Amino acid sequence: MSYILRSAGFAPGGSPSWPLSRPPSWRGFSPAADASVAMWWQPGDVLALDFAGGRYMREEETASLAAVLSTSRTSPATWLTDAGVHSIFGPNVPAITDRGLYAGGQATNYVPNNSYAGAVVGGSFPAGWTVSVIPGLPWSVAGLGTGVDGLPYIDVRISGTNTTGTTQFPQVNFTSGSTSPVSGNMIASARFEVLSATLAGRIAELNSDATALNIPNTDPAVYDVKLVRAFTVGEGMTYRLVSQVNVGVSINNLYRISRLQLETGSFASPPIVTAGAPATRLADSLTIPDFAAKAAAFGFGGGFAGEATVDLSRLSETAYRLLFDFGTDAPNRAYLGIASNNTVELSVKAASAGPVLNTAVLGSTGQYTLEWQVLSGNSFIKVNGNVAASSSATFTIPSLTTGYIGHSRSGGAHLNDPLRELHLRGAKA
Amino acid sequence: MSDVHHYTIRAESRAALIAVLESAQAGKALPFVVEDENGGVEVDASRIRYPYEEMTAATFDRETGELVAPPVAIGDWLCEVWLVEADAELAAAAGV
Repeated sequence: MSYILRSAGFAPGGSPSWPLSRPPSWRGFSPAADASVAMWWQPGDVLALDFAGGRYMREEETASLAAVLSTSRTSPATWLTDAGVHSIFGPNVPAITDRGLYAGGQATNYVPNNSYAGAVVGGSFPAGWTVSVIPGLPWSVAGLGTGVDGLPYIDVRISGTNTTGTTQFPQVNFTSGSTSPVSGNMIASARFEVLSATLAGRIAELNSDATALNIPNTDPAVYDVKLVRAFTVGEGMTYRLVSQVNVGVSINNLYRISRLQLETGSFASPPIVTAGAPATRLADSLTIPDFAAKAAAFGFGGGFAGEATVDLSRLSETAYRLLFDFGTDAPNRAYLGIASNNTVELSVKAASAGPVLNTAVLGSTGQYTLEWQVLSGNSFIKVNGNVAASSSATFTIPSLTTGYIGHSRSGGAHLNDPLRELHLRGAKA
Repeated sequence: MSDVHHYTIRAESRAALIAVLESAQAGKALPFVVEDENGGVEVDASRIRYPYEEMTAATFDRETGELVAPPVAIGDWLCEVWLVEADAELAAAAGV
């Protein structure tokens, strides 16, 4: 009975808040007759967001996405489906596919033309690209189109023989005239597909030979490239397709190139489409509408718990990646996320005082189910069903004024990975 | 982003740029500037590109593509703002 007394499914008067025509099966009633409204959330959930499944619940009632998530991002964004197809989401539209919600941080693509504007098969290369002119080793545009991933590609061929008497490095430069905007790492990413080749070796590089893609053989293959290099501000950036052709050697290589991107940091964000100038994908600001009222109605001020399913694609990044951030300001908030040391971290602070729980370091990338409870005297984190950190510390829960999903309240610390599901419920002693 | 309003704001420093945004946000539902976790201030990254220094264009060798003259800071800072609705204060600050 103690559970029922704490359940948010009951109003203070003791009556269940679910429709009498559809009693929830977890209370021992028969499953709903209408399969479309069968319960898919967890017992006790007051808010359940199944982004990957496209279904949302608030207090046992099906809810629209707009009722449970507000989005601000006045730029377009791209995100993948499970089948590997990219969708483009317009301004203020959350990037949600069957992989989940992508809460992305801000990124600028410094490859100014990755949509190949101005290119002509058998003729011009994309506007802004520069191509080496070496006798006997010409490059050509062999094809243009849209790939099965939904993004544009360009086919580029180099065919000829080096008769110049010296080793040559014929190249196509994607970032001519670009200089680094920062002192720090830049990451160049792309998909290079070898459609056919007669010469193995260098394909792509970011300035230095040490930051390059070399193919080991001439077999057709797909390479998802990530080249990271440290720059100084104002240093020239040369992201290029290049071959090394020794004296007397012939080459006939055909490449398909897509998703060209060059951005700051060492994390390659989803593709940002450019058509003549660098473009910025603004950050997502994702909030639960009317969170203060909901948190009060759900009794979260006395403690709250929940569960999330997230796909983690990387663990080497020294950045915080938050699943949620509930509170009022920096000294008064509760958040759960992947810390910079790749532990799962639950922090609860009121007036900057309160516990911080950390699990052991996550050992691998992949899908994780994370559960947590924020309750004075009994807080914990579970990873894939096992208690991974706990605390009996007593504390004051901060005022839960705003609820951010997938990033920190300042707009940094974005998850930059798909959040498949998020469930919230009251805490249990 | 053709269906949104775009403003480029220029100021002599990052702090001056922040001050322009703080002034423009008065009385509005969503602030342009927010407090970060370290007690500092940051722009609303969902609507504003992070401020950056305005630079001259670099000069490259036409034959080799090598950098001849690196870009030089002009002395101004820039930020770009994209909004769904027009903003008179930002329009004035941008000189639109």
